[in-house]
Amino acid sequence: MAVDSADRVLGPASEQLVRTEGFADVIGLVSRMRYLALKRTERMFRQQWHLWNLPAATDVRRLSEQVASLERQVRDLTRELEDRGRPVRANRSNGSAPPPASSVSGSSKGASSTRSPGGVRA
Amino acid sequence: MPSLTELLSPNEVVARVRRDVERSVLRARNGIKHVAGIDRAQVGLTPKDTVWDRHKVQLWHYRRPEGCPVRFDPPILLVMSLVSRSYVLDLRPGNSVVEFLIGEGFDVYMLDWGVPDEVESGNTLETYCDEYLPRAVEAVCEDSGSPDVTMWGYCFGGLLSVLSVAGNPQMPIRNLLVMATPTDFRHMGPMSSMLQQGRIELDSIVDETGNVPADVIRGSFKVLKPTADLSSYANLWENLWNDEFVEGYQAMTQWANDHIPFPGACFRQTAELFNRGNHLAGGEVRLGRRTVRLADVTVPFLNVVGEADHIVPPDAVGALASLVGSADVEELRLPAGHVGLVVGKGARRRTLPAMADWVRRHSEARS
Repeated sequence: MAVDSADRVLGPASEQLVRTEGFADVIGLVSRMRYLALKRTERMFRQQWHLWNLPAATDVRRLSEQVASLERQVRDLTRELEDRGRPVRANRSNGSAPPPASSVSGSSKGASSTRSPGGVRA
Repeated sequence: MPSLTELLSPNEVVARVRRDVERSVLRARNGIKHVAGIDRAQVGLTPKDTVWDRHKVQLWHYRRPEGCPVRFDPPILLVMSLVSRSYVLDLRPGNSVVEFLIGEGFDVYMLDWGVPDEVESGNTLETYCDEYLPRAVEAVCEDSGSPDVTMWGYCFGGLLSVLSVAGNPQMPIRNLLVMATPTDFRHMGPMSSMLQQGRIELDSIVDETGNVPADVIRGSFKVLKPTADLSSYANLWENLWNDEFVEGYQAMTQWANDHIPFPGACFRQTAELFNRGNHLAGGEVRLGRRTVRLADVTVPFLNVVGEADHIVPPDAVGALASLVGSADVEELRLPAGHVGLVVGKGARRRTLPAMADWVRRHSEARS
């Protein structure tokens, strides 16, 4: 088939091309320019919005980062507390494993399992 | 040159014409459905229960059909990559690692990492290797009643599995199996090379959530085979009349375009430790406040390599089997690509039975 023939020629050639120094230079340059353009645009819009005392997207992002940081701190503290309360297990090399821990940190669902007939998580 | 009508009998000509007309009708119908996005492939259909969760991570236990009891212990815990959807391991009925393993008599669990947002942007390798994985293994033991677990990691999930087992000797692991696991990042393709050489700044890849966006992940895979989409569409056109082919194509294409953002902190660590430092290939990785040595993996170990894998080439898998400290080590080199190890006719006929055989040999049959 014509497409297969074209692919037999173009495929290896394109795979070689993406591994060249030139391609890497282009990607690096495009990536850097895109990043700088985005930062410049953000700065410009932020200044415009702030002139009217309105919040910019970067302000919302900063708040979002702070909330996320707080949540991460809560997770870290929770983990530290859990680790202090966890029973110490024997190492694999010391012999057979002890019975499973009676409390598993995280949410265990026994009789009331979340039943999903199938399908992909959103 | 004789014409077709001269080569075939009249009845055969009629049958051939009828077949072509039918195929044209089916091709038109399936083509419209595909373009309009109707009848999307249903994936990840094997019934399951969520038996444990932590933050966005969920541990699924797959239900067994009637008359299909568990015949081997310990249970298997499937560990997926961080950037791809886990349903590739349960793609469609008849094309599912989960379904296959259940049919072989194993008790199957899967760890799904969820979709990270700003909070998960701070997740590091330690979060996965020292927090989520050990707790998930404990949850499998508690749910199944088994004292230990066979861990089965795929791609970056294999890397996390190896590090977790090496760095947490208290984890009750019976066996460790990893497929297409990147070890020597010098051979990981053009995007990895660009990171190594510093041509791409890490900050320029991460988005406003602090994660590497899914479309950047998708682009980095597509650049490995730039013409793959072209031949894929051509195959689709050729087989558009075939309902089964179209369903399989849609399921596979859906997964190939359905990536997950990569947590930013983990991405930076991966770039520094593996892309640039290539520490894994040396057998030692700084994790948390200690150095994790792959030589501390002492459980039976199987390393599976896809010889046609263009995402994690055989050279990138490197000498993983020789870096672990297990006395019982095997390496299985299979004629398959990265996804072909788990999906498709080749997986069903060759690769999955080979891997299941190893697990069976390292498991106990229930009486």
